[in-house]
Amino acid sequence: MTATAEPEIGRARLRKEDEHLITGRTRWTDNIVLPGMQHLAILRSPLAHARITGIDTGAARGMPGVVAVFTGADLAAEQGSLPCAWQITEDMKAPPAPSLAVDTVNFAGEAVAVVVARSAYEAQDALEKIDVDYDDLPVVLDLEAAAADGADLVHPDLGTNISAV
Amino acid sequence: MRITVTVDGTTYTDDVEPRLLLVHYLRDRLGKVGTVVGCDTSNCGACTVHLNGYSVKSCSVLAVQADGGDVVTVEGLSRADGTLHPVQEAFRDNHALQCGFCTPGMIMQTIDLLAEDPEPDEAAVRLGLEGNLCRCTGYQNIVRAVQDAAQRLRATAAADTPKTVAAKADTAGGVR
Repeated sequence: MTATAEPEIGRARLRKEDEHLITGRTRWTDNIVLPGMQHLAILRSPLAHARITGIDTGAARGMPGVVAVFTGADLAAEQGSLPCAWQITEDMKAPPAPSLAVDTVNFAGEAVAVVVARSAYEAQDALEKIDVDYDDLPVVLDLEAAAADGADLVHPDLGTNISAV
Repeated sequence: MRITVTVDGTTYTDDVEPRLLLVHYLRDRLGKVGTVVGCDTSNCGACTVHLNGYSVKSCSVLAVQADGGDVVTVEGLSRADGTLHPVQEAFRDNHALQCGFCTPGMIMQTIDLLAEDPEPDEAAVRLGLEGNLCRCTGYQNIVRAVQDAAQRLRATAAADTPKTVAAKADTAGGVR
């Protein structure tokens, strides 16, 4: 290095990782193929708030390539609920967060059932054979309406829609 | 159904289900995992490739629709000696990527855009890339990179004046 070398500080540097990223040679999780690997497809709720009155997975279990089908009821005892690891306030209300909905769905897109199959397409096919019965519950679509007195509660057990103030 | 498709210069013949998406054919059958699936809903453009010279979202094209066609992916842009495509260089030099997941689609769409409009202003770049989403939100540098790439491509074309058409086809990944 000579005395006239350009200072390193304050100078833009090229990133080492870009070479792989701009040529399509990065290993993303989805690129990884392992021996015996299975594929998971997730059935999600089309409703924002509803009681699950029944899930029929019989037809899905009989579809080609299907290894297993799980619903919230199958996993509830073993997995419980994802805990809130970082309470914002000591009395913060944290709703239960099961991996798959148990009894009720509380937002549109909540996972209701999963299919494990030998291929992604087979998992997706089987998903379409799952029959879920829902009873609609009131929905709250607006922040102010959710915080108002007498608002319909997303999680009645918590007694409020306000998590923390 | 049996299809024959040329991908990045290699011709493949395969039996595929009629419903197989082009992106899944590329990734799961050919191992061309440089083309990624970002959204599964045709929103994000991460899976953009060139089919017969035009950019397409390969999650919205069936593999059978590419039968007899010529596909170029991000993996087919750099030369055998490792020389990068000018658009790839421009993305790297302008820090136009952070996580890099949208980058293959951004680069393929940029090449298509610049083939149509070699000198786009900022608005034209943003319009031309509106079907490609960057969740890192690094759009400022992406726009810079596209305009820088445009300049590089024009310089290349000018240097090869007698063979302008051939040079353009080459720098566009051989797709136009």
